[in-house]
Amino acid sequence: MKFNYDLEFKNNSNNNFWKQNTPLIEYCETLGINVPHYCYHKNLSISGNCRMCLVELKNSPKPIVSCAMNAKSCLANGDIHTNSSLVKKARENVLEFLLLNHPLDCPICDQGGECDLQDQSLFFGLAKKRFYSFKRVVLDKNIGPIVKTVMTRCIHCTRCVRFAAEIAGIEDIGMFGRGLHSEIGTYVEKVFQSELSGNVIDLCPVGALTSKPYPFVNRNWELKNITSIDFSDGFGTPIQLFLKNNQVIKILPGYEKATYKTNWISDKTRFSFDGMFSPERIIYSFLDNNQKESFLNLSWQKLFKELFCTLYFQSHLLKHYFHPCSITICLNKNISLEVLNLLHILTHKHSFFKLRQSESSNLNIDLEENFLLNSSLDEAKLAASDTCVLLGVNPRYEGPKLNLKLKSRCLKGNFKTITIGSLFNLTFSNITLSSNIQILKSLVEGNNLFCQEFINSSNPVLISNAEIFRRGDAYGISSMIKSLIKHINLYSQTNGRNHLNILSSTLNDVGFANFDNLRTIKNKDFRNSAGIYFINSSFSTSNVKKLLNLKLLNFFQSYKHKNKLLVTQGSSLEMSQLTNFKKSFDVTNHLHLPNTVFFENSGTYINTEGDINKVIKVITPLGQAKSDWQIIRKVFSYSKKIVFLTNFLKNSKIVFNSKNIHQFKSYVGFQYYAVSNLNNLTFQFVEKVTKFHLENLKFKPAQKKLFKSQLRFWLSDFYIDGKDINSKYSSTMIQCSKLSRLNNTNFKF
Amino acid sequence: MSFWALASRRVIPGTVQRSTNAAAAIGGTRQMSVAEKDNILPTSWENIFERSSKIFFMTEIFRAFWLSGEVAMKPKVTINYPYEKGYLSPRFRGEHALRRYPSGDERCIACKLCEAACPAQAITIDAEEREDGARRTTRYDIDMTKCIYCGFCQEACPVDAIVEGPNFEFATETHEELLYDKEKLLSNGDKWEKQIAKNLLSEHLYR
Repeated sequence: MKFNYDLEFKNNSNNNFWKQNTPLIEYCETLGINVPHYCYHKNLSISGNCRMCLVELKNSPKPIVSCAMNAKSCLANGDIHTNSSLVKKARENVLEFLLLNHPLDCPICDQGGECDLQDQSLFFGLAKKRFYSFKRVVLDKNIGPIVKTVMTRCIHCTRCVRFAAEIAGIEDIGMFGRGLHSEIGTYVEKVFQSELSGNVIDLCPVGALTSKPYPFVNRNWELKNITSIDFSDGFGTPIQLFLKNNQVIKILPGYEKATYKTNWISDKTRFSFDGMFSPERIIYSFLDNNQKESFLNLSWQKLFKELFCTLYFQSHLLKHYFHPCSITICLNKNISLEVLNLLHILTHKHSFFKLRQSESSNLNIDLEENFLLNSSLDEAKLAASDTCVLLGVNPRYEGPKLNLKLKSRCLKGNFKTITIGSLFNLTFSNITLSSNIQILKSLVEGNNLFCQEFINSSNPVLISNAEIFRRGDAYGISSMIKSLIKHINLYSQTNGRNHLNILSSTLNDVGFANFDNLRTIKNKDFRNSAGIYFINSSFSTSNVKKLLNLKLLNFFQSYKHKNKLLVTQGSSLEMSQLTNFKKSFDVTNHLHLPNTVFFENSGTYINTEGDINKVIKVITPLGQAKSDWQIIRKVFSYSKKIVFLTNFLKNSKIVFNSKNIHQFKSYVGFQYYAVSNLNNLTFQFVEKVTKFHLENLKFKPAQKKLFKSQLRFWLSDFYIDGKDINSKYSSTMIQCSKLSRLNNTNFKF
Repeated sequence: MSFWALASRRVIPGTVQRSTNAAAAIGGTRQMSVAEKDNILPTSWENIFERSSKIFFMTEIFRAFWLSGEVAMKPKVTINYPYEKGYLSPRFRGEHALRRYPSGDERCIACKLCEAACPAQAITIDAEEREDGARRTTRYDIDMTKCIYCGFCQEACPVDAIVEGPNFEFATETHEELLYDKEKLLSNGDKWEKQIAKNLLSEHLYR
């Protein structure tokens, strides 16, 4: 049996492992006794209004509410019976009243099979019915595209209300009316505009709040449960995937490795997976060589032959110009470490492959702690600090997990949040200093009023994101931050601790930074290479878009050679971008290699905290799609065959710059065995910088360039603008973003 | 060989044997004969007389004539199957059917209880929201070759949508024809609705 309701326990208050204010129900759970409950939830405050968790206290005249009672004081008074006849009778009566107005529509309810009310009325309920009057009907509310409401089913546990107020920080949901007429709802008809709104679906113990994008699709007994990680932001939060017939049906928060507690996940994590399997996704290869017919669904063997025949032709052509043939491989930062490693070996082995990243990054990656989220996720470290500076980062959208941590710290009191950047509702109190980056200068120079508070504060935390360092004045900003950190270190109580936190925007930013700083793709690369190989359709990134637009404006000189080869490897293509690209760069041959999406391949990723997450393949790929690793492995083996193209390099070492060797060993080992049959390269760790001397730095504000431009959040639209490829194809996310944009304008319909 | 000869041949060895035993009994000798040792009782004269009179007057023959005459008068037991059919209990579990409401709306609400109840896992259901927001199936397949006709599906159904109707004549030539989809099941329901409704009504007290 799933629940253990039968245990009785005696007073053993000499066990003092539980805290002073632990509710009795939590204490019972530690003993392995499940007390039935609806309103009580571990991560929410206690309201005690469902009355289901009644237990008998020996000397008390009435049964007591175990969630609202202090465990220690109860145990001091006497024995507690969780399964006595009084308790059973009490539960039966409470259930009878709860079912007074609850419709008996379990067969059409999405919660059926995982419903607390259903389970508990089976265990404790009365078999017969004694009320024959009419049931109350409550109108359904429209609270957005994420949550579907059937408010007649609501039993007023107020979990959703407490979640909205305490966790999401948006007090839109509330209870109004009294007695029979009480209802849960938004006071005026409005959308529950929170990035965490999907969590109320999990919270609701009955079927009042269910998932709107996937109504009636599944029953929980049909689903297979697999753990994976969140793909949408830099944290890689553990999630639970629920599969049926090789399809992802739903995503729920998984258990945290450290605490074994479930966490809250954002709507994007929960519902953007349908973008991966959208009809726009290209699952068959095609070849387009500017002739009338294009070849669809070629076999992989033919594809690679075509690719290398074209290369052969190109290289012969280029020999006449005394020009070496080269292919530029352009990457996004969301590919796994194995693929990255294989690409690295490929470029080491064959010099005609050049590796570029699609977006610039001027982050200082000498030390691992320069690009990690060092202290702001650790509760103990966060508790020790009382000031937090958010530099151009919007944690609510860029990292909802971080925002929750900051909010919970803020609610504990004695915590000040200062933001530099655009005004934004972070759901907790914060002070916005300025939206201009110039404020950094005054902070460092000590001209700002805030510097006074800086001195008084203990262990201030500075949080920024990797995207700021894409700006033109990135070096100026990083030097400012360095000197700011120096000041902070001077005043913080624990010296030597790193107060800088960089929030990465994609799943594998840190892995990329650990690996190597790749050069950014530039016009030169387009000009000099005979072919361009995009992985994960990265030509939609801002940098490539910019190059493309400049090319369309005839900003660049004409190219030396025409007849370029374009290889796109991805699950989707933006057709307008593609046609522009083909036109402006004289692409004659276009090959598309369909690759797998996140859940269809296994890989290793390093999240923004520096933790290594390994993901396994959970579903078989659709159509012709193969994983990146397989494709590049084939490219590797084919390029071996064509000898004239290859000019082997002597360099057989691959160097990492990392301070933290222990973390690297595991994944390098994994990678090494994966690619060991390809070559005899050796992996080496090099501690580039062992000690970082702050004293050597001399602050010269006049020489460092800082633009007088406003700081803009890179993520303007939480739902579809992220760095992951698939969310912009997700119909749910498109609806959400439409609504949120509508809410942000003054035109309301 | 004549009827008489048959009869005499059957009777004569027995009479001879029995007569010797009888002679021993009449003689009153208390010596244990072979027949007595084998626990065969001597036949009485009455018995012998009765048997021989039965044979002489052919009573069994006339009784058999009478019986065949009686049966010939009684109504027939066998039926002319494809044209005539026997009685079926209202609880008969035959071919499946999906029913509709009198309004024409399909009853099935895609609760998937039949799918869960099916011990042979013959039922497959996919559900989606209909345009008007109702919960309905997009796919309702029954593999009739997997089905063991246990009737759990109709017991599980909260709305009496899936029922095992009175039809038992759905043999097909190919296996594929026995993989029923929603359309087929609904058409079955339309075809058999009258009978099914009658059966359900007659059984409603016991369910």
